[in-house]
Amino acid sequence: MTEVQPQAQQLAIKEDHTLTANFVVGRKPHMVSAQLQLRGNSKLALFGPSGAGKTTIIEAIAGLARLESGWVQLDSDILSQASPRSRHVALWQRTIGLLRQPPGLFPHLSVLENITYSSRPSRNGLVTPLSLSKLLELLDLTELASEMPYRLSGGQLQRVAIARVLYSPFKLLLLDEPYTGLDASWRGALTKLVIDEVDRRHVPCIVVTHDLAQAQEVADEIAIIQDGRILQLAPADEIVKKPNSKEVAQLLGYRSFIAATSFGNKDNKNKDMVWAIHPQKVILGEHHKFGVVLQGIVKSVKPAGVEWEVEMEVTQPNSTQATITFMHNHSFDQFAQDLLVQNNLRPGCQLTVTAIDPPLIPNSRPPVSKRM
Amino acid sequence: MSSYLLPQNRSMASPLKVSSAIAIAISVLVWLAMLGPVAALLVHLSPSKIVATLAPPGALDPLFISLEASILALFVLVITGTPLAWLLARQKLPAGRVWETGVLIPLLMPPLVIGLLLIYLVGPATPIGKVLAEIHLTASNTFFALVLAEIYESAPYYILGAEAAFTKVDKRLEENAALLGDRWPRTLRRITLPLAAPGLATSLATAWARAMGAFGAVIIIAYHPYGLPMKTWINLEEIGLNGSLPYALCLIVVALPLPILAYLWSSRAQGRLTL
Repeated sequence: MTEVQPQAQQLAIKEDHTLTANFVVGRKPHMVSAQLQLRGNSKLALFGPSGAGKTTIIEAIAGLARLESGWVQLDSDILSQASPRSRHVALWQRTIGLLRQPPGLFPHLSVLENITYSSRPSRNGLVTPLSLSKLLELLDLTELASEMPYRLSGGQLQRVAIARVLYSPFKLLLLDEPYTGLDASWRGALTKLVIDEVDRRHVPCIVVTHDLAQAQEVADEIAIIQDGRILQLAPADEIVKKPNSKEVAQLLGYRSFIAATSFGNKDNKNKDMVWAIHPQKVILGEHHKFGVVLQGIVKSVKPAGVEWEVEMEVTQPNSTQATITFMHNHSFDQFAQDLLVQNNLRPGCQLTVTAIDPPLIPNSRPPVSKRM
Repeated sequence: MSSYLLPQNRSMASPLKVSSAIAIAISVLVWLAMLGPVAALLVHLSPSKIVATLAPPGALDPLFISLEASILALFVLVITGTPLAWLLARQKLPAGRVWETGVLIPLLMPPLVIGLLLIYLVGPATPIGKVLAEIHLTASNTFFALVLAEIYESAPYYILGAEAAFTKVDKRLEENAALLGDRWPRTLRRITLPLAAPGLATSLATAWARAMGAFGAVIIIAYHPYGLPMKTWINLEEIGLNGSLPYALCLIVVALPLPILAYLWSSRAQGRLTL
C-alpha cells in the first residue's frame, strides 16, 4: 500500500497504485463475486461469455453497483464497503477512468466538449493526461472535433468515448469492451494506446472482453469468468496451456475431453483426469513425442472456412466412448480432396491422430458422455 | 412522367389510397375541429370592436393582473416543483407512487371543486388563514388568492411534465459525468438540466397556459381582482359576447405563443439529443 508522500511527489516518483477488491454483488441467481489485486501498471482482462458478470465486476469497482458483502480498496482508500458499516466514496471523488458499453457520450455536447468534459484536476499525484492535440491525432478525431455525437458512426463514437476517458486523470482504468464497433485496423492502434497510457501513468487497468485474442493482446493476466465467478486467473501466455477445469477449457476453445485412464496408465495418478483437446491442436499421424496419440474412426468431415472440421470417434483400447472434433488445415483447394482421401479423412475410415500437448485437467463433471 | 413508370407507380399507390384517404379525411376533420373555435373567434371580431372594448383607460388592467399572477405562480412552481419532479423521476422518494398520486389529484379534480376546498383550507376562518392574516395576507378575493388558485390549477401540468423530462435523461450519463469528476450540482447544471430542457420548457409552457386561463378555482376564491378569464366572463354576463370576445382574443394571444414556441423548439432539440 502506498502512502501519499509529498516529498515523493516533488521528486516525481511514480506512485504505485494498488487495487484490492473482494466483494459480492447481487443475490442468487444473479450473484457476482470477485477477488482481485492489481498493482502498478498491471493489466488484467476479464474474459468470459456474455452474461457472465464481467461488466458487473468493473461497475462494482467503479461504484455503480451496491456491494452485498466485501469491499473495494484503491491505494489506502476504501472506496466501497458493505460491512460493518456501509461506506461509499462518491463517484466524483474516485479518480477512476471508466469506459462503459455503450459508452454514453453526452448528446448535447460536441466531440471536443465531450473529450474535455472532465473537471478533475490532475493534482494529488495523478499523472497528467496526454495533450489534447496528441490524443485527437492518435484516435484520428482531429477533424471531427466540432461534430455533434448524433452525426457520428458507431466506431467514431467509440473512439470519442475512449478519448474522453483517456483525457481525464485517473488512478485506475476500467475498460468495458473497448474494441466494440472498431474495425480490425483500429484494434492494434487502440491496444498500443491503452498499454502506453497505462504504463506511462503507472496505474492498474482492467479490460472486459469476450474475445480471447483481444484479452491476450492487451493484458498480462486473464481472469476467466462464468456464472458470476472467477474460475481461473492466470498469466495471459499460460492460460491456454493450463486450464484448471473443464469449464475454463471450454471457454478457451477446447471442445473434446478424453479420460486419461484410457491410455493404460501405470499408476492411479491420472484417475479422474481428462485430456482437453483443442480442435486446432491436433495433427494427423502418430507422433508420441508431441502429445497424445489417438486412434479412431472418422464419423464426418465438413468444410469450415479454409479448414476441414473432422469428427472422430475414439476407439482406443480401454477407452471410454468419446468423440473428438478437430480442424484439419489445408488451404490448397485443388489438392484438398485428394489429401483428404489419402489421409483417410473419410467417414468410416480408421485414423490415427496426435493431440499436441493436451492439458491434463480434473474431470469436474461425471464421465464425458456429452458430445462436444 | 415516363410511361414505363406508370404501372409500377399505380400498383404501389393503390393499396395506400383508400385507407390513407379515409385517414387523412378524418385527420383533417379533427384538426379543423380543434382549430374551429379560434377561427370562429377571429371571424366574429372586428378591429372596431376590439378598440371599443380595450381602449378605455384601465381596460387592460385584467391583462396585467393575469400576467403578474401567472409569472408569480410559475416562479413558485419552478422553485418548488422542479426538485420534487427530479426526486420523483429518480425514484428517490419512498413510496414514489403515493407522491405521484398526490400531485395528480389537483389535475383530476374539477377546478371548481379545488376552489371550494381551498376556502376550507386557507379561507380567513381556517388556521392557515389565521396564520396568513398575521402576515397581512388574505386568501380570499385578493391578488394572493389569484396566484394561489393559479398554482393549484397549473402545478400538476408542470410537475408531471418535468418528471417525464427528467426520467428521459439517461441516468448513465449522470454517472459518467460524476466519474469524470463532477459533483452533483455540476452534473445537474452540465448534463441533467440541458438534456431535460426541452421537456421542461414544454411542461412550463403548458403550465403557463393553464395558469393564464385558470378560472374554476379563481371564480370561487379570487373573484377580485379581475384577471383575464374573470373579466371575459364578467363582460359576457354584463355586456354579452361583443364585450367578452376581445378579452378572449387577448387571453389567447398572451397564453398561446409561448407553449407553441416551446413545443416547436423542444421537438427540434429532442431529435438532436438522441444518439
